[in-house]
Amino acid sequence: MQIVIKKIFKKDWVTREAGEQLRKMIGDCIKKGGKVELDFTGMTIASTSFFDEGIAKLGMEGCSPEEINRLIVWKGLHPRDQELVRMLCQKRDFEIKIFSQ
Amino acid sequence: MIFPTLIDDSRLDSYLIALKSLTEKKTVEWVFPKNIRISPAGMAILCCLVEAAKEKEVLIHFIIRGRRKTDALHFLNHLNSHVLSHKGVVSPSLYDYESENSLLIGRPSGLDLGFMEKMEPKFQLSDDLDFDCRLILQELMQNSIDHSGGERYFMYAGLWEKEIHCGVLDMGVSIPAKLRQKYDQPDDIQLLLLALKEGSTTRRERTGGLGLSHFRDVLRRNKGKLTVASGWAQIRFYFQTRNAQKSTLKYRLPGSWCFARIPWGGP
Repeated sequence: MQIVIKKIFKKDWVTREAGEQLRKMIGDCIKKGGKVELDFTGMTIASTSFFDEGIAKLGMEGCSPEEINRLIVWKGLHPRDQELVRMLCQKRDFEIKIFSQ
Repeated sequence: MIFPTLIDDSRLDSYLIALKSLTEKKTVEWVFPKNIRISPAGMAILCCLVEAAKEKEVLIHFIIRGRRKTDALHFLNHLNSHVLSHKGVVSPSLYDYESENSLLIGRPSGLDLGFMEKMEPKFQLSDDLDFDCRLILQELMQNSIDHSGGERYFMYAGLWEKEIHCGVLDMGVSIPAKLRQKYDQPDDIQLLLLALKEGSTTRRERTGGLGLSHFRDVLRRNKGKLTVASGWAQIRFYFQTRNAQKSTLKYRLPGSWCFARIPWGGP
């Protein structure tokens, strides 16, 4: 499954509500054992709310960091957004690896 | 009321006097002296005052002393002719203003992410600075929408004396008033300090409280300044010198004004 952030979150890529939507989409796909490509191309997110709700709380959807590392492919994530996601995940003891293409 | 020759985020009490006078009179005169200068933050402050006057149906007369074609006079004329004289249905973009060095919007509700997209090309910010300004403004905008109770918010960004200034102001429910529902603190200063700490939130469904503390870290890294005023409290953080000044305002601010400054030499 491919999630193109620019397309799906074209009106809101910053709020907790939008992050929750992203988390559920990722969670549903991972529960089925599918791979997810998160495509951030052309976007600068710069939002703690969106990433905290969308990524750092993936544990709440029953996903383990190992599953995330294995099943999520990161694409076009801004280097500062990468830092932000890492920091937010660490705060929730949910340490994942991000290698954005 | 005579305004100072520099309208910016430094002496907030002088603008709160103007705000207070709106509850006492039906007509007020605001005098703007010769050689007046208005920073991007000052523009947003004036918009808040005008919005409050419009809401209270107080008639404002602008007396503008200067005649030279300056940015400040251009902005005052915009407020006078475009906003104060406006009759009928209020457009969401009524207050919007753009000059060579500043961007300002006023929105009755909802996110305006187009503002962020305009900033980088307009001010030719570096990639890092663009990211930091987005992060600050997005957190403040969301906070204002979530907590201010649906009042119009004003968001600004601009270049001013080798700094980039950005912030969000609203005249809705103040931060201390909102936090008092959940936290027991002796005064508004303590409540405002609490708002800037990680993990303090008034949300019930989704936990939060990360945003404001994180953008403080961003300003710390940039050796910037942050002023937050709300209710009776005002706190100024000077991250270069690691100082913070906490004070009680002479007049209560019904809303929240947040101003950030980051040193920047230009593109």
